[in-house]
Amino acid sequence: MFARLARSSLALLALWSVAGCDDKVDYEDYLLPPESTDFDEIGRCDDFNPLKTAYFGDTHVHTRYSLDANLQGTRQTVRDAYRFAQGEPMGIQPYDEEGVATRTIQLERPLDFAMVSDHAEFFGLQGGCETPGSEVYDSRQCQQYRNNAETAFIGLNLLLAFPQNFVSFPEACGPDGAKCRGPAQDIWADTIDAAEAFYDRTSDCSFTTFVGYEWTGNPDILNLHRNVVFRNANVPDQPFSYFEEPAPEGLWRALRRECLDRDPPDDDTPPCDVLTIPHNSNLSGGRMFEEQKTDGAPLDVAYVTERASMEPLMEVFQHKGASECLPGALTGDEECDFEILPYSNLAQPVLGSGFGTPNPADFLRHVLARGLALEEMFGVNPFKYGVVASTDTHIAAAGNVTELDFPGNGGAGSGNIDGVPPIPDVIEFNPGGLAVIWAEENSRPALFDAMRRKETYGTSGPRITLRFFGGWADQDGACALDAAAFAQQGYDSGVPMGGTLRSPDAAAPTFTVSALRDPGTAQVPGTALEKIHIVKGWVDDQGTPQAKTYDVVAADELATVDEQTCEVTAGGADSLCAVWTDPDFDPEQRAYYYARVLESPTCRWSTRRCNELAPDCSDPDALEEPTRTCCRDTWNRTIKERAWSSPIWFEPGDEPAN
Amino acid sequence: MARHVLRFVGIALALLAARFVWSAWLSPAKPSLVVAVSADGSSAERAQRVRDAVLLETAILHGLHRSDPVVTGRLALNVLFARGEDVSIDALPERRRALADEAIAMGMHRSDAVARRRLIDRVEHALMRDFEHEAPDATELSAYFSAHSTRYQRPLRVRYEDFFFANGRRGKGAAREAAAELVRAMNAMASGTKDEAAVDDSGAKGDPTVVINQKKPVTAAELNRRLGAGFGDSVAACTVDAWCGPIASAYGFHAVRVLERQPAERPSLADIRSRVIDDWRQDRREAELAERVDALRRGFDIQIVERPGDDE
Repeated sequence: MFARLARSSLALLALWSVAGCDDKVDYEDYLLPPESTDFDEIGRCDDFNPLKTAYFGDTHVHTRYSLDANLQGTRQTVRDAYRFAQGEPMGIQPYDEEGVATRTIQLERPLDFAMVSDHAEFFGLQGGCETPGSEVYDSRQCQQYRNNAETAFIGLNLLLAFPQNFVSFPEACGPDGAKCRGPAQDIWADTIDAAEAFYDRTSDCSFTTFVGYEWTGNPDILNLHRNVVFRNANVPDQPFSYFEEPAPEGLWRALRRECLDRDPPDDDTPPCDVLTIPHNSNLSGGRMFEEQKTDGAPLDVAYVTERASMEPLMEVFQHKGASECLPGALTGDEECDFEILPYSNLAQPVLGSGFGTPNPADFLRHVLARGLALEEMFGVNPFKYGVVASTDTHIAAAGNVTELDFPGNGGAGSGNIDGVPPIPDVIEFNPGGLAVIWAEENSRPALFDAMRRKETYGTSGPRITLRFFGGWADQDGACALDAAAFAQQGYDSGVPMGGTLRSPDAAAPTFTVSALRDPGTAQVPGTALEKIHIVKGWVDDQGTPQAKTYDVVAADELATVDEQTCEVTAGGADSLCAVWTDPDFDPEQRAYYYARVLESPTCRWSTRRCNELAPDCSDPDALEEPTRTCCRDTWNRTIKERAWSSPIWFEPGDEPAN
Repeated sequence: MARHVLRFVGIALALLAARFVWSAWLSPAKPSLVVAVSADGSSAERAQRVRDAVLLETAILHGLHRSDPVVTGRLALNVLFARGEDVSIDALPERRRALADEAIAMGMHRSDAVARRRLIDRVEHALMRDFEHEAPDATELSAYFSAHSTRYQRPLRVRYEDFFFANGRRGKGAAREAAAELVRAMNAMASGTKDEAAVDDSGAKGDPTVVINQKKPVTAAELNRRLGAGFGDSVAACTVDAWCGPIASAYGFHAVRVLERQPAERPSLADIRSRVIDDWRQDRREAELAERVDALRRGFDIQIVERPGDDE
């Protein structure tokens, strides 16, 4: 309480000081993660490990509570999603005429953590339309919702594309949304209950859930979506959706007011804490990271500080493509050609029409670099993003990332309500990835704190283990150490992924990186690793983002894959390790570094499907949809699955900012 | 005001629910119901089909197929679609009744998947409208916990130490042999037939481990996940205190010694209270629904007909 008051005072002081001496702000204290308290402490788990363990999870999961999933036939509940994440089988659409699920899926390996993130915008309308006697049940909009799923899907989702200054609640909810609030609170309360029921509070710490939802704003069909993650179950009694808060600034303001700045009701309740994670910047048409406020006003210290504080992470990979880097762009490299969608907004796959080729400014490398420029200007970096990945499943299949027998994810992809087409999803989409968190134990405070300090990474699906450290000390011999000693040395002599290096104590920083291949399962062996890159980024004197991709280590022998049979040859490595010193270091220049590990090539899910269908692509027009999509050149037949670490930043000077 | 309306509606629906059960029970001649099941279906599937048939028929007997707006809307749209007519929702209201009647005359209310599901859901909803989610008292909760002890079972855990020989460094064959040799040597040392110095060679003691072993108790499943299928199962099968192996992981071969074995056990109720309460409530709801459906079922004269093969 006092600490928070102190931090708030510091923030106010900082903002006040802007008018005074100089424009820079000492934000370090303001951005510190909150301390754990007695009832929220780290250390209760049997698996507690001060050197940290990598926990695999999915923070982007939709169930029947999401309007789009619901209209596509998803009947799976929040509880079904958590059971599935824990390794239980789950029936999915299509349902036969007797209402029995015709497909069953199951994870071979349970997740360590998961968060259901249903779209908050339609909680109220959906609940109301399905409850006879509710205030909205007989409304025209509810009739359409019940009678004509396809029209309702398009019509209601279009509300999310209204520009931010013209946003309105669904008609049936009334001008202020009041008629839908009751049903919305019921759905939210059930979401919380389910998360509480499945969070393992014993010392086993076998599974962690987070309460959360998705803020689904896409003005002008440009994606600004963010997942809202709460640290514990002390949360506001309604989620703030695009209708209540059309601007991200408004969302953060509401979360601050109703969560971060609100004292808990009693001594037994932990304080509310929350962060937001944007995703699919690749579909934001340049808007996710535009350098102005929502109302068009120029950026200022308050905005950049708020964004830096509320958004420590970005989801750079999921069902709807990758947002790391663009091949061919200034900051790109060849290997960036991985799950890149051929457009820059949501219009094309959803409405069948589109415009805009991918925009380099939407991709992580460009954004991280621009963040450095803004840090130079304001003393705070609003784009200091750590990295995670997730699925965005709309069939509640948390963590179902396998490229074999991919059932389709629904949502913007194929609904599969009436049957499963030969290609079960939009062919350019993929099964999604995983969020990985380095934490002392598998509990909410440990995982949430790690997200705040960005000690996280993302994978495109496989369970690759990735360590990345940076510092000023000599690291010779690091790769001869065992796993524990490697980590100990990394923590002792520098910072882990997500950290910031300052005060150079050597001519250049040295990084250690170690990757371990996915150990695989009884059904599916993991794939060997091919190489590790370290990507360095900066801005030049004109403020233009630059990046260089360094090859730091590769397997002695490289494996290949046969596109027709999907068989892989021998080659690749079980593990790769490197010590690397920046040969181009400039102690005056801000920079970021992150590690990217590539697996040996394998067949994509669509390659397997199309191989089975074996269509004749010499005359694609003679083929039926969606088999015809096998002939498109918008997707790669073989892929190198991968992991991306959160960056380590370098900041010139000894003190944070000022 | 709204709350009174809602309560009134709630009471009305509860009465409707009661009426379903009552009228089904008191009907002079039980309506007959033929339920088609698959010849090779499981008994659970059969029960599900009978259940759905009972609920569907109940809905139809109470005229819900003619009064429910979702069903009539869907059926009307089907007819328009079949005729190739414009399916504009705005044109619907006036013609809805007539179109739906046409569809019903063709039996579409029974065959259309959306209409069926809606009717079944309506009856379920009406049956459970007055059901209140209670909390179990201490006795009930404790009894439930005991009855479902296997569900909450903590699995077996082992604590072990190991030496690792990497496939990548040595090649699979050599790694396996080196691990096997170390197991032999360590066991011989333990039984006094071999000298410590003979095993104190850093090459013989293996390669740097790739995964941190905190030497804390872990489940076989956790080890399978971190080190590859089968590794955890093999470790769990080792005898305590003896060197065991070579055990294969995804990365190489291990010489393993289990230090402690913690048998499977049940956590205390206090530790997992909210999970057990949630499970109790879900079970209660399902049990209550099953009872109410069963009451409806008794109002029918049911004939089960087997369909050959699996035509789902």
